[in-house]
Amino acid sequence: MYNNAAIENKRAFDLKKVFLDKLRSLVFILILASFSSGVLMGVSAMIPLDQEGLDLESKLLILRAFAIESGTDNIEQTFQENVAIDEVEGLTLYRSNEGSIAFEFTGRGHMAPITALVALAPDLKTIEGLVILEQQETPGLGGRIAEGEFLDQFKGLALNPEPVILPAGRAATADHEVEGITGATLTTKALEAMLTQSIQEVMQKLEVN
Amino acid sequence: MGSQWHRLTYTKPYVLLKDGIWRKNSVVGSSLGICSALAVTNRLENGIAMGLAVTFVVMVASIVTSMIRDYIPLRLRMIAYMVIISTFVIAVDIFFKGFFPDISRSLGPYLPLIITNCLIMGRCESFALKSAPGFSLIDAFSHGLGYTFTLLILSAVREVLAFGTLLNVSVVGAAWTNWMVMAMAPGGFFLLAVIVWVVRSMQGEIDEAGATPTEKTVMEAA
Repeated sequence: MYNNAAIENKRAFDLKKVFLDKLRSLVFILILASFSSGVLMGVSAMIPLDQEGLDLESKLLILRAFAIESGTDNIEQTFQENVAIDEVEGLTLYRSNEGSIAFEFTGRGHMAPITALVALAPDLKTIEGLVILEQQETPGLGGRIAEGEFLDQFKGLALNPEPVILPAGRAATADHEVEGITGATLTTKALEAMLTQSIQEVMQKLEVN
Repeated sequence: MGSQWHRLTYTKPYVLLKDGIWRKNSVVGSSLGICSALAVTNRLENGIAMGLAVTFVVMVASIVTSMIRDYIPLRLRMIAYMVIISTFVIAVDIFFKGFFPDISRSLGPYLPLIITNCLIMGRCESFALKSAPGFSLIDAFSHGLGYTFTLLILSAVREVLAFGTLLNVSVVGAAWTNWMVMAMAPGGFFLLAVIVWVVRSMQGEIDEAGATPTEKTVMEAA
């Protein structure tokens, strides 16, 4: 039993209600978003992991590849004292005081790209150390390439003939062989291929110079 | 003593704890959080890290949701959960990167993927949205613990069978042959099914129609 005026009134009221409802949602989302950013800003301020922190981690890994000991509190200092950064044809080379060189390489893993860093002994005939900088392989399988147990095998590995990662379960007999990881054949094969290729490329660049 | 214990079993916190850990265990009872429960549980240390991370996130997300439950516009509640959950998951991720870089590297993308764990959203939606912060916290804690216990069992059995180790310490003799399948996805599925079977049988109370207590409550409510 509405007359026209009443219907008009109701419509206006509805519009106002709808508008208020939308406004409320908007304010809610804005408050929630600022709360979220606030929490995250607080957390990242508390935990030392901004750009500097990440860089510190890579520095620690580079030192580990050169087998240079460092405490967690003097990474920066140890790195400054022991490692020089050099640039050869767009390639970043890290040189240790003893004359070893190290460089990063990236390649296709089984699940996602793997970034690693390899250090070569001064005579360029053996590997001094290998560290994984970034990987997203399956945890517990391919992911174990980042673990010390596997990586330690690369210390003193001969480069000629080319390094080979054996299938899991076969113990390494020659000095260019590394025992693989069970259930991670594809990942280790990928790592082997990118390691061999990058070492060849870098050797060529070094010979040219 | 006996009657005091009996009385305790009727208090709400006790019921909540029992439901979350045992009677309505999220992974076993309602198959929530299965993805992460299968993906990372081939090593015990990964299981522990994942369980604790999820417990922390579900507790904080529940308590925050519960505190603002009167202000959440009903249509936006899913978005609200997502924002709250992702905030704390990112915080946990930063924490692990900062203090446990090795575990963080080993878990890879699965730590940030806690955001998509249905268990957490399920607790926010089915409990925290309707309950006071205190009870929400207890509920979230118990469901987190239930998830952690399930992961502990799964990962301990899988690590022993697949690698012959427990927390990287060898526990089997030299004659042991590793069951590689336990480290991979199929092993996880088999084992989870066995655990669900065992737990459901132990829970008992299956009525003639084959319904468990959880299902019975659902049917009675309907």
